Amino acid sequence: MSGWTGIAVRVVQCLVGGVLVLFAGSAVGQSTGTLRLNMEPAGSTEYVLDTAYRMRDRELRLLEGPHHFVFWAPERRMLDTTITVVPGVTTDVRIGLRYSEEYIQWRKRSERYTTTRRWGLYGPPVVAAGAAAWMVVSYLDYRQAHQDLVDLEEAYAASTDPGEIQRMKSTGIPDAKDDFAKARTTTIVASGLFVVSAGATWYLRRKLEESRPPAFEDKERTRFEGLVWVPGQNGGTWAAGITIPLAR
Amino acid sequence: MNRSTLALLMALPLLLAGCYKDDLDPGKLTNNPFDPGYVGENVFVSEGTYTETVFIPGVGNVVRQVIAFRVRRDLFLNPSASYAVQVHDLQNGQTTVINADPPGGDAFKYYKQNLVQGSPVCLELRLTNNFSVARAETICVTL
Repeated sequence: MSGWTGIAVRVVQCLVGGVLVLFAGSAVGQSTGTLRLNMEPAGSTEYVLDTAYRMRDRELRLLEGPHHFVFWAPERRMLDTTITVVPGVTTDVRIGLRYSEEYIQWRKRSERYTTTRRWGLYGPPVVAAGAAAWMVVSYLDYRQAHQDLVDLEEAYAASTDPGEIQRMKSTGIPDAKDDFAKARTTTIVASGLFVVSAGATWYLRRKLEESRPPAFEDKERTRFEGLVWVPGQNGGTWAAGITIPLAR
Repeated sequence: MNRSTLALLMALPLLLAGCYKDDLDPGKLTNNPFDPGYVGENVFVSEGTYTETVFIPGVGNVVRQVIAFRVRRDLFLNPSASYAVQVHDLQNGQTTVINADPPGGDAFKYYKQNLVQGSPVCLELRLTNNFSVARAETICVTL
């Protein structure tokens, strides 16, 4: 009995030893490496690891071999890539995300809106102010031109110099009448410009008050958040999203 | 600011622009007797003619014709105007400028040496200042 017992103990010892050797071999095959992710933009880039885990960590310790990553940041285009982890090594990976097409288009629309708004808000008032100044100056000229005519009429009555009267009638008064006509035309044009620009100021201000800036819809975010596992303190949640193109 | 106030404010400059008129027409300015283009009543009024004898040293007594005339100051637009009169003798073609006699008044005397009884003497008279002359008027007198 003791002989059989001894044999049994040996067999068990061999089996346990074999299993330990097997496990040890397996443990050697699952060695890990470290990834250090240098992501741009630095503060807001997220990623989904191996189509399951949504994370923001900058340094990861992963099993060796290839891992699937989808990087994304607000306003940026997603980057779908595979990174191979080398065991026992810390690998630095530089990730730069490009701006998404929707964001570029939105920026262009926004800049156009801002430019239009700026011109709409400040252009007509500046023109109106200039026209008002021009109108005042031309009105003063116009008044002076009229006063010149009045003065010439009085000078005609007061003059006792026939030569001076002749010059007055042949050149002085016609020139003053021309100046008056020009000053009146200028005043009317300046007044018209002022009226138009003041009206445009009022109209554009009202229109701009009603206008709204273009909204940015981050479609890449919707795609990124489409189906990911979000790990948390007490496990995690599945998040799903869907985009319905209503414009079509 | 309501619309009517805005419309009024905007119309105001245009109203202001139209408030002055150019009524001055050089062709219609003809009422100044000093104007060469004067159109109106005669400025010179004949006061008659007569002879007088004056003593000229070295020559002796000389008889001359005096043609008296007056300027109507009431026609002047500038009542304080000072002036002289240019006299053009149509008989002998001589032109002279004479001042008021007595000075400061509006009475003038033109002296003519070669007098002819019964023959009319015509003078072309013009107001003058600064070597320029106004409208010509003619007066004729006979001794």
